[in-house]
Amino acid sequence: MEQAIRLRDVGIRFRVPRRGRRGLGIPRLLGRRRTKFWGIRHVTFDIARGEVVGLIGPNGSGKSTLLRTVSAIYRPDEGESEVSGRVAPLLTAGAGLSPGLTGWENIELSGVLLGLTRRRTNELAQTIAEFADIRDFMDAPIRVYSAGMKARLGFAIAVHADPDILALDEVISVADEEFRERSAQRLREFIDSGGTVVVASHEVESLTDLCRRFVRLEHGEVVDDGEPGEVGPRYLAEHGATRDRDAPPARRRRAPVWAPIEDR
Amino acid sequence: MSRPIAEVRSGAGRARDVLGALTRAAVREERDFTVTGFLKFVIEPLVFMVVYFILVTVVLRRGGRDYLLFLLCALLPFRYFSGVISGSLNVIQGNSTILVNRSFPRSVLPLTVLGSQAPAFLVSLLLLGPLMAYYGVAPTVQIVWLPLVVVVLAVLTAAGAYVGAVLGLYFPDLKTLVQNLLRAAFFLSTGLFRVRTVFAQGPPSGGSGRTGEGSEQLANLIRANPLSGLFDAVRAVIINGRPPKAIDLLYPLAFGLVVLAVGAAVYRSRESQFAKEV
Repeated sequence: MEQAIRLRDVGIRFRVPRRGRRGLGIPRLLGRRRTKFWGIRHVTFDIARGEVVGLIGPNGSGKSTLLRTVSAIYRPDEGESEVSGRVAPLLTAGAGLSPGLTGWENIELSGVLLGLTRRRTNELAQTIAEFADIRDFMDAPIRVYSAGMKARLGFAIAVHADPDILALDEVISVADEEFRERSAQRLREFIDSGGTVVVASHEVESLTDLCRRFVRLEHGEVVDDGEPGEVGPRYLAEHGATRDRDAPPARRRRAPVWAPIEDR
Repeated sequence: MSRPIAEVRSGAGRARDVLGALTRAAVREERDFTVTGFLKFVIEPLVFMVVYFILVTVVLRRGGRDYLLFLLCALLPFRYFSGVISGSLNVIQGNSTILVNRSFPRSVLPLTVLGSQAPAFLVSLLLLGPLMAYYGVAPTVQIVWLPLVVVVLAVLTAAGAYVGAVLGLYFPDLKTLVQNLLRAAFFLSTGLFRVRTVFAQGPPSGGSGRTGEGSEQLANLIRANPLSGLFDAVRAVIINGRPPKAIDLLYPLAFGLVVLAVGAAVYRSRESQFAKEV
């Protein structure tokens, strides 16, 4: 089977600035102290073209780091990463949109940054704007957009950028019900057309119906890999069901776009 | 279902597209193409010109017949040079949103500062016209050298931009120091005076002046400043109507290429870490 993503013993290392708890110490005067740690390490797996893979794990387990590695935003500090085709990442609600630019200007910039030509981006601009359905705000700078509007535009750009691989974090959950349904439909069309999806979430239940495979991360390492029906229950047995389920309705997060409609 | 794999563009074509898109975005974000934006291009150099004119002609009692034009020939390239280097100090942090969300050739980022400040520089060059008319300086055919001078300026500025980008990310506390060094670089150049004017004449009235070995060292320092050659090259073309001296272009060009090679190499060695450092 043709591979879309091939990772071999991949490690990503970070240097985090540290400050002492007590005011001005000598180390601070000499410069910022930094501690090195591995965000992910010894990560080895393949993802075939057309696969839909869920990355699961608790907060801080390395899901977002792995998505950024797959998206070629982070280059491995050790090991090898090979990705075949164009990746469209949608990792944060802002999704790389520049706050001072208008919706139209952000489409142009994002399209080129995602690997399209300027001409192709301009051809797609109207379609993207219609899908995002924020026409009244397209001439306004992004900084006045709500989180939901940014998520709409970010998702619309990502799915229309002719990608082979979509790398998604659970950012689209901030959009409203109508847009999430439209996005779910678009995502299923992408998958049906043979597109590859890598999606990260710590809400296992929401991923089960979408994914055909789960890769579970703990402390930056892959600890489980297989069918959602097997990996999911093992994860839940250790970490319990998503806390949001037990939270009062007012504090409950909206389900992500890929969750089945009846679960939202 | 199988689908054809999208063509993943790489190399010079993609870098050029990204450079263009980021430069347009930077110019749009600055909102420079407005009436006030254009006024800013023109008024800011004029303000600096007047301040230095007062300092030199009134306070130091120096200058000369066409001193305003002499001053502007240095101020315009220097403002571009210092503006780009100041902007490059923040170019990586300022693009943190796209750095952590998009994969693109990072090597173009310092060049976007050159591109985004180029419209202001080019518009401000128009100020030379009225001053030339005021002093009765007619443009000659030697003005064809001006684009070459601008290319040398761009190389020198690009070198500073690559160094500034790395410095700004890893040593943000040094930003103010860099601004002061830039100012010192202008004072230790031929920006305000001709070298021979300063060291041939006696001290301005009330001043102690510099004589002997010390003044010769200072003169050598000013000659070693690559900005001096550039300023003199602009003046040769604009005021004197003659081609620039070869040394005035070759020295800043060689200096710029060496610093550019070193700066770009350091930048390239660190660019894979930028998304993790911002």
